[in-house]
Amino acid sequence: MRKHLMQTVLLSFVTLVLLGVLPLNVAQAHGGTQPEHGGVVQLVGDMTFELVARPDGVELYVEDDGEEVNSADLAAKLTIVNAGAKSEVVLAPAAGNKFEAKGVKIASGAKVTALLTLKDKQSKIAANFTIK
Amino acid sequence: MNRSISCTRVTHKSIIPHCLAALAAAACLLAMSAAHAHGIWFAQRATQLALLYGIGADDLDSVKRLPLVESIAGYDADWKPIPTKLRVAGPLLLVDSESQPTVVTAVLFNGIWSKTPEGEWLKKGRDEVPNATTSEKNYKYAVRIVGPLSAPIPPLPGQTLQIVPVEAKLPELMGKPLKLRVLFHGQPVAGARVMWDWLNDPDGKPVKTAANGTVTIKVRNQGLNVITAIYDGPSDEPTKATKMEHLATLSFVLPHAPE
Repeated sequence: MRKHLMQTVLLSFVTLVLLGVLPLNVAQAHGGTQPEHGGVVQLVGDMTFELVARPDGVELYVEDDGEEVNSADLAAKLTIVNAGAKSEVVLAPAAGNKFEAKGVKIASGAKVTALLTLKDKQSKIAANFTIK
Repeated sequence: MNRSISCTRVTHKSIIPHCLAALAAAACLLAMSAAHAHGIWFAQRATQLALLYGIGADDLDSVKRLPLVESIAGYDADWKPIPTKLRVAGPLLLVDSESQPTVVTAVLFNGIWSKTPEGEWLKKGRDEVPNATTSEKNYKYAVRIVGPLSAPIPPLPGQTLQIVPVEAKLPELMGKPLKLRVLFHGQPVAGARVMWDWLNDPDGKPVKTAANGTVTIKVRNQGLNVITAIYDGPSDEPTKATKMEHLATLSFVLPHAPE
C-alpha cells in the first residue's frame, strides 16, 4: 500500500515536471534554424529569414515566431554588396510567406542584407547573409 | 550607569533627525547631479532601434527631448550616409532608416546648467545665476554599431566627442578586452573619463584615457553594452558657461548563444 502510494506520488511529480518543462522548450524556440527551401537561414529575434539564391532569381521566406507571415502584408528589399559594388533589389510578395525577384543573380561571396518592413509600414527588421 | 545610557539615547535621538535630514539633502543633491550627467544611447525596443535618454536603469522620457536632438544619422559600411530620421512611437523615439545602417549616430544639446552654492542645478547660464559655482553647456552624443564593421569607425560628423573601437572586429564574448580610443574634434584626447557600463554600473569608477586617447576595458555584457566617455572642453559661450561637458556613448551588442 505504502509502495503504491510512493509510486503514485513519484509518477505525479514526473508528470508535473514534464508538463512544466515542455511548454518552456516550445516557448524558447522562436523559429526553425533548418532551411526549408534550400537556402540560408538567419534568426533575428523571433523572426526567421531564409534567403534562397537561385540561378534564375532570388527568394526570401519569412516566419514570425515559427509561423509563416503573409508576404502580401509586408514589404522586403535586399541590399547586395559584391566586390565593393552595392545594389538594391525590391522583392515582390509571392504566395504565402515568400518574396521573390526574378532574374536577379547573387554571386558567391556577396553580402546581402534583407530589410523587411512590417505591417505598420514603418517598423523594419534586417537580416544579414553571406552567400557561399 | 542607567542615566549615562539614557543620556546617550537622548543624544542619539536628537542627532538622528539631523542625520536623516542631511542624508536626504545629500541624496537630493546627488540626484540633481545625476540628472545633470544623463546621456543618450541606442537600444533595441520591441525589435526596433530606439534613441534613449537617461542613466543606469533610468530610461527617461526621450520623446519630450526630441526638440533637443540636433542630429540623427545613419551610415553604411563605407561610411556613406543613409537617410535616417527619428519617429515618435508611443513613449519611444525610434530610428527609421531607408536601408539597414552599419552605424547610427545622434547629437542632443541638453542646454546650459548652473550649480548654485547650495548644490542645486538650474537650467540657466551663469549670466542668470551670478553666484553659480559652475556653469556648464551640455552636449550628448551617441554612436551605435548596428552591423558588422568592415573597417575601424572614422570620426563621424557632429560627434565632437566620440568613442571608437581601435579594431574593426569586436570581441565575441563578454569579459574579453576591448581597446577604445576617445576622439575630441576627431583627435585622440587624454583624460576623458570612460565608464564600461553606463546602464548597469553608472556609479562605477571611470578610467581615464592615456595620452594617445586610448583605454582598454573588459566588455561587460553578453548583450547590450553602453560605454560612456565624459570630457570637459572649453566653453564657446564664456558669458554663460565656464565649460562644455561632452558625454558620448558607444553602444553595441554581443549576440547570445543560439537558442
